[in-house]
Amino acid sequence: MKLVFIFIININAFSQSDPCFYFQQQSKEKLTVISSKIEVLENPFYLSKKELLSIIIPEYIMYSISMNDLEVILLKSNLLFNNNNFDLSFGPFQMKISFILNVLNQVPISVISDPILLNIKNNNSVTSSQIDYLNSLEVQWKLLRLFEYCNKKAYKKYSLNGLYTIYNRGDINKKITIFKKIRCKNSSYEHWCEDFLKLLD
Amino acid sequence: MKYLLSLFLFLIFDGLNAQTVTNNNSDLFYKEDNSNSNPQNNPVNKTNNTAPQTKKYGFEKTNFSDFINNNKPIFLSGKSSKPIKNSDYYGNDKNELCYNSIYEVEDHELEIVLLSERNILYYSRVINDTVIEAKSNSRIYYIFKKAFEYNEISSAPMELNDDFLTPVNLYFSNFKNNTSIEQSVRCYAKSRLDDYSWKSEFDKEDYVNLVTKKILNNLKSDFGQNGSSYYKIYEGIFRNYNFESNTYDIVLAQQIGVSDFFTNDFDYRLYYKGDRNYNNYVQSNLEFKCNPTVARQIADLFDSERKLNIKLELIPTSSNSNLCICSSCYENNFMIKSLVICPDTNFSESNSIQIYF
Repeated sequence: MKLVFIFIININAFSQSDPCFYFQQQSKEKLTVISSKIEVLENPFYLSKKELLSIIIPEYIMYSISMNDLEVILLKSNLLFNNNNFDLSFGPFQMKISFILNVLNQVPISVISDPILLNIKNNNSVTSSQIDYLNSLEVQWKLLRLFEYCNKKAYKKYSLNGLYTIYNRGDINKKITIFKKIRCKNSSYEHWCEDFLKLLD
Repeated sequence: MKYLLSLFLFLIFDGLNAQTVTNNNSDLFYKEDNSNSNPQNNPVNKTNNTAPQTKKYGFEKTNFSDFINNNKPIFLSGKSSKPIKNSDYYGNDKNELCYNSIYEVEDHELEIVLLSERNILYYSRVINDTVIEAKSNSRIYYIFKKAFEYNEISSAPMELNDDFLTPVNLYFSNFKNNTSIEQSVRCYAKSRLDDYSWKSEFDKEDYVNLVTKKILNNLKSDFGQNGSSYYKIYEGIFRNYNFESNTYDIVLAQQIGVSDFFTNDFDYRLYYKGDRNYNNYVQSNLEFKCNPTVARQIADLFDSERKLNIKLELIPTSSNSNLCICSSCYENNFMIKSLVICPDTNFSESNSIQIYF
């Protein structure tokens, strides 16, 4: 009884000292959901599923369906009027169209089994009608695998941290910035990926 | 010669008439020059607009057409009947309220917008039948139709709302007969409206005139302060009772409620009568006198942290200072009439102790 009491006191004290306590508690539910969803998806090329997931996990945790609905509307509208400069991130892993095209440009055709992704690669452009397809978790997972594939060298040199940086900022040499979507404390994208990877374990 | 003179006079008159018509069309809300815009990028062709130009303030909450067709600016209202919490969208344990149906784009990401944000928006384009794009300076906003239903958008700046003007009226009513009142009011209106990114200084000037006129008119009439209630509720932490001076010192740890009057951002100062009847300015704590019997009753209400809820009942007091003119000195003064101390927020008579100053 005494131990239970001390445990409760400790949790209470910890929740008051850690500004991200409640946020991390809420995140655990989302982590459980995504972990079960990716079980049925294709294995990565050289990472474990959890490691691959950790690359996008801060984005997935902050993913909001209502905001994504608007992101999709805006993207479709802009593509319809050939406004290719409008490069909003979208989908459960918050990928930009420029990111998708960049990944598809880098990987050889032989690695891409998905006909729609092949079509996008061949045309080097995304059409308004393809946005819904690219918006799904399954397709963004395929794209994430392709991202893993074409960044093997970076992984060998910089390990997972390098992949976190490239996913977040597009370039390994770009200086570390604060990931502004998580506001309970100022941490980099890489730091959040590492934190969530520990929770996945 | 006579005919020529008549013709000349007719032409002059016709020219003047045309000028008058043009001026009538130049609304408080003007049309953006869209001559360079690509009609393909814009599903609503503004250049072929057939909407009547004389229609002015008939802004319908759920109707985008006035805003779109007449290119009236709209304003973030600073309120929402269905606000959302930013903690639901960002990893943040702080609960700040945001607009439900207004978003902006920053660094290729959509972001929700805090209710505290004041801005003027100009129509940009229709995205689909539920969303429009609006711009303010270099910022891009996306507004769902629902934003109009939730009163998040207004056709006039909040400075013209009666609710907003309640504390403003109270302040200026102290200086009704001052010879510089008009200058002071105008300066206040201008400083408020300077915060918006106006596309046209003429629009701003029109609104400065409107706000100034409205405040001055309010001063002439009874603007209804009688029904206002003035209070603020804090979570207070009691320090030890001082048996020598018979006083309690309270730290006002956190504000947990206010009367409607204080929901607008007009500055104010709180005072209370302290030792030797001096007016003390309330900052983060206040001291009050009570006999040991009442002090003991209060102590009986403490939780383990000596925390209690404290309602400060206030009365407006005439400002001792001079009329503020073009500075940051516009503020109302209040005296604390009494404190109501209660362990919960009901402040029922049976469960609370009232201390008068």
